[in-house]
Amino acid sequence: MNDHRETQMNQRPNGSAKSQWLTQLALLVVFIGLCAYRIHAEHNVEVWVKCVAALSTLAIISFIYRENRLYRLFEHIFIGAATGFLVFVVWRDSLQGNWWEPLSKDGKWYLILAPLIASMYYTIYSPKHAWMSRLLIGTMFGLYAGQCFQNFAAQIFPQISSSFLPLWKHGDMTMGQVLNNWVFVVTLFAVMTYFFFSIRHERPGIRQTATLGRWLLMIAFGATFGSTVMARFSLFIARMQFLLADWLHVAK
Amino acid sequence: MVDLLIRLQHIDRRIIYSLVILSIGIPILIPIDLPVFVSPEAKGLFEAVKTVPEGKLVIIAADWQAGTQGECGPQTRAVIRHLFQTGKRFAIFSIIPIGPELAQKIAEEESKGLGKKYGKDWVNWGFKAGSPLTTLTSLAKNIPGVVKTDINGTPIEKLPAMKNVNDISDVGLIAEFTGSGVFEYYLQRLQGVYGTPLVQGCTAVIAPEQYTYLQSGQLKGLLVGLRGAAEYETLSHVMGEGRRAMTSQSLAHLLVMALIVLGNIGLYASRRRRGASDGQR
Repeated sequence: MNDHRETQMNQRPNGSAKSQWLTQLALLVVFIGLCAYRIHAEHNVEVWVKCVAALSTLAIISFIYRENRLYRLFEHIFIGAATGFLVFVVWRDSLQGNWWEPLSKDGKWYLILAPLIASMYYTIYSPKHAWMSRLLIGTMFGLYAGQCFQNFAAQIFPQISSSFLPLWKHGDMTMGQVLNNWVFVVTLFAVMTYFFFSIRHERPGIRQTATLGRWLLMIAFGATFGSTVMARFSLFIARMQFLLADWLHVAK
Repeated sequence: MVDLLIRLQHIDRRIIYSLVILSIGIPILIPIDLPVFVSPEAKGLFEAVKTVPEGKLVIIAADWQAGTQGECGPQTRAVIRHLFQTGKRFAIFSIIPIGPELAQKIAEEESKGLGKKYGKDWVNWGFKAGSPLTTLTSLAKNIPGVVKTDINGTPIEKLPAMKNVNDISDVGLIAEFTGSGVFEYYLQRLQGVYGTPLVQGCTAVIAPEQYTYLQSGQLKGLLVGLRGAAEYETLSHVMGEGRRAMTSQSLAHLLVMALIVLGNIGLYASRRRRGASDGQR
């Protein structure tokens, strides 16, 4: 992976190394100039935070030009910050209120057993004591298996019952709803046929239905791909709004 | 001419990225309010929020992080603003660590103009570590037992917003915002078991999967990506982040469509040339 990255980093676009350094230097000077302008205009701590956020954003976005050291530095900073933050939040929102305070202030001494039992997981690294970790793993497996039945029923059963749709107009149904129900049922049937492997798909009737199922799946994947493009643009728009509106104040 | 068309297949990616930056940046600098067509799923979410019974609590499950802030942030903001406007109390909660911090910032910003107060109009239960299934199972039966303190360390029984909130029957709606696959936990442990109304705001990436739950009635409403936020703002008659971003979104989509057409013209031209040269041989 690292070799691949190094290769990518060494792939220089057109232009000499000197001109690239000059471009990077010019960009840095522009960035420092903009930061100095904002700090001079606002005179508060918030603006410093925004400048750091802007630098982080630009460093990450610089990846679209090519893989570079600034991008990698900020990638690592983000991972480190997220991990540090996770430790803090787990302590503040879960362990402090639910474990430490009852243990230290309310005299619930038996809560000391919780971390001791949890630490049994780590005996997995010792072949001699690994049986202790298996006790915990087995218990968790059992609990989860028990929950799985209810989870499946709660999530999937309503899906099954809602697949039985009226295919002929009755009551106050519109023709649009009838057509929609037909599309739904045909899609469901065709896709299920495509994933039914106990019958050879060469058989007449099965082959055509399975092919239709494949095409309908392709349409669904196309919709997912289109949604993904929209999602990525949305994230980029948010960063551009931050840079232009919140940081530089050149937009609303 | 044919050479030029063939070259359309190999436009330098830096030119494409520059065009994307321009198509997104220019509408931010020069905003244009494009009409937003409201989908039935966004309307469903709006109605679900509006019809939360008096005295019931709304749970805002902010299961998103900084990486999906661009989509889930405006959605959460639109719903929180609507909750403040309609005078419904809510609790921010998450099974993802950073979500409650980001949602708290949004709630604080939105509360300023509307005179709402933390503790009275909303609370923040924070992030709950551990297995989400176990957490939600326990939460359904005993909310104060699971959420002992808020993010400031205040015991929740001392907060007026938590008055008469004991279990899931005191919750009128769960509004879950996410960019990852944690939604099923709420379906499996809360909506599916206790029938608590559930709505969702999700990133556009996972949206196609969520429509099945909408069709089956397990979801009462759905906001899809930034477009969903813009739809909700249209229903609330607010010019917010979502609507402001829609012009950039639309222009960027037009650019992508134009590039796809140009690339295909280039492909067609190169195939014709190849066909002509094969014929000459």
